[in-house]
Amino acid sequence: MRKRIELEGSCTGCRVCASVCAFHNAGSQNWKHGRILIVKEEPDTDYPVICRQCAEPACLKACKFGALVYNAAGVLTVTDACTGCGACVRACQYSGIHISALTKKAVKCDLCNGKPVCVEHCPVHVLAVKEVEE
Amino acid sequence: MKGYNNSILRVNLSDGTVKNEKLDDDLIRKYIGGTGICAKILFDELKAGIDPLGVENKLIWGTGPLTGTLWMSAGRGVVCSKSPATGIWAESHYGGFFAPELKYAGYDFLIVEGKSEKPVYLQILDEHVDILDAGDYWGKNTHEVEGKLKKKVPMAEVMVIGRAGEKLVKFAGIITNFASAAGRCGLGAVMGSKKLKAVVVRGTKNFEVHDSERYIAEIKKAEQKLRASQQNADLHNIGTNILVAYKSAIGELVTRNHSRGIFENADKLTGEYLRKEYFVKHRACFNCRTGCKKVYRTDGIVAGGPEYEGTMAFGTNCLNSDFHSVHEANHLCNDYGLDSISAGCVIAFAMECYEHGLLKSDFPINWGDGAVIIKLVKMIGEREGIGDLLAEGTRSAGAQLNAGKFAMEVKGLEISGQDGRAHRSVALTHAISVRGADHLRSLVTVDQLGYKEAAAKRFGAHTLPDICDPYSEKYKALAVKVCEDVFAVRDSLITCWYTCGWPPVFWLEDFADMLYPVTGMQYSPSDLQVIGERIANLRRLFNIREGLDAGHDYLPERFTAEPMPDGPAKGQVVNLGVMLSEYYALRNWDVHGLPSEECAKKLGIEREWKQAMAEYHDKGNR
Repeated sequence: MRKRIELEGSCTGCRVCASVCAFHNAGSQNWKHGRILIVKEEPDTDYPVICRQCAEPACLKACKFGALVYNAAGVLTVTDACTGCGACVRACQYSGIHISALTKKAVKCDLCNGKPVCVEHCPVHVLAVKEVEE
Repeated sequence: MKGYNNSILRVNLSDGTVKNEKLDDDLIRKYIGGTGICAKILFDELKAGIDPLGVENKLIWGTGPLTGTLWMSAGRGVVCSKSPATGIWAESHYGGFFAPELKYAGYDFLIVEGKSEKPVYLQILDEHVDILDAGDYWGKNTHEVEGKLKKKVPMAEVMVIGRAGEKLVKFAGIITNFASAAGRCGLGAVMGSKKLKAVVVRGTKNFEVHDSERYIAEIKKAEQKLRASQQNADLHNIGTNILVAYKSAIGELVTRNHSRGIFENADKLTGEYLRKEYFVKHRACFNCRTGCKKVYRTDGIVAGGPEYEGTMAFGTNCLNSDFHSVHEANHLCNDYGLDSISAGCVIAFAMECYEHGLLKSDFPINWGDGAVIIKLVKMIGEREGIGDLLAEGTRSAGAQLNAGKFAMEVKGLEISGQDGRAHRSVALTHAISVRGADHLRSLVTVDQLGYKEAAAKRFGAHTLPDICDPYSEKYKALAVKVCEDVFAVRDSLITCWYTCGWPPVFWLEDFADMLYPVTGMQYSPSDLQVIGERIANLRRLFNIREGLDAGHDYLPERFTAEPMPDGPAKGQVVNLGVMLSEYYALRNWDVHGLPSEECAKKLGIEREWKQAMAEYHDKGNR
């Protein structure tokens, strides 16, 4: 069963999820280096942007370097083969994958080996790992 | 040093030069960051007596070692300068997302000096720093400009002034994220005087911490502590407007230009009522686990709503129980770029002057009239009609109207939403605060909220039960001094007031625990206390150099000679003298409020002390 992270409630826009993701996955303090991003619009809109873990990922099809592979848990991940060409970013209609300014390579959510840090640290508990209905 | 970029960006608007300077390790060791380092830089670089709106004044955007980290409220930043509202030390802290972004762009401090001839804005995209033409934005208010600049530079953060700042309204603020403000002290007017419309920053870099494993362990520990705090849960659920009910209960709800402590119609302004009637959603500053900000909806306005101070300023203090007009006035302040506390207080002052026939107006300015409050906010923002007089601030308007007794200010800054008659420590806080009648530099709430165990831990068991008594002067000087030192550290880290409110979730020992993994510096709580004391004294010296002394540590007679007319604090007045003497003694200052040489030596600021005292005496003082 595919799983993904979903917003279940009202996001305050604090970006704790993005910051812990950036620290855990990239060793960076800069939230923009994380795999989950928060969009803020005034006066009252805040929402996360994160990989939808698609059944037929457009990013995977677009990658010419074999840099996207499924890990042991069946989650699509970016490997070192990524050249940072950005074809996957252009292919994804959900903005679920982006080029990190830190590594200049693609980054996307891999569900942190089953224990996503964003879900653990969200102060208002509105992020959850959900099973996708096929 | 880890936890910092070790970098100062200096931009001169007169000649267009941009320099990247090293942030000195010694400066960090002595002052940490934020208000501390800003105080040292401005003390060294500004001459006493300069015009705050002149070419010689400087503005500094400061961050601290915890800014932009995973710490509980790492979104806070500070802007420091010499204030056009007061003519003395200015610092104004803001939430939102700008300060971390400055750090991600590679800078700890941004110093803006000089003056541009034409309107400009500053764009900082990592090492690409440009002074750009702001002709298209000048004359427009903050929401329009922030929106446009963010469209132009995606994922950037913006700090911007509105028309009030352009027109040099003395209490114009700098706005960010539409509803957060570096509001107090008129820093928006300093930007306006420099023709600097906005600062745009986007950072794609990282800064390192010293010990990652211990860092994340300390973060988790702090998160647990915060989650266990009822105060934190209440602030999230209700927001700072929770104070309306708290203050009503003890007779400290600032009402009718600070003359009363009870407002009969306060039930329409309580945080609980606003939550029920107008609440849209919770919002939070960067990495904040509290999320005290509330978006409210009233007739056609959906916006980040007033906090307690805004509700006080346009509501209770003007006898206005109509939240629609309170919300609109607050929203207008954010758009014009006005400090809501000062704007509301100057309007309450105008209402009292009008009542007594001291202010002539071609329309009635009656208590409680929400439409008039909104009209006056616009007139102040535009400097139209009597708005021009009020835009100079309460002290100046009071002098012009021969209405000084209705001017609720200290050192030229309008008094925030507390009343020392019903909350004794805050009388001293208002009187001695380094930026004028402000609460946040040393707000003590032990005498408002109690919590004996926390009181004994922070101030000593011997201070019980008097320290918790809101109507007694006893031990309040001690509490104010302790808190002023601790909060100088808090404001240098920089972290939010609400994580060390009362009872405090975090205090010096927690800051010391956190600073080690971030910076690698081993501070003890007492090391930090000394740093806080050093900062408090250096900021005081900044003012002494401008000629201030004990004579400027006053309160309006309303608090010291007019007994509280009704409510739980009925009959109370403040004995400020007794608290001041005790406070000066605790600080090792003389009876004139001047730090002793011994005090300066102990804190390692002897050179600054000598310079400040010489300039103080040169002015013909004592």
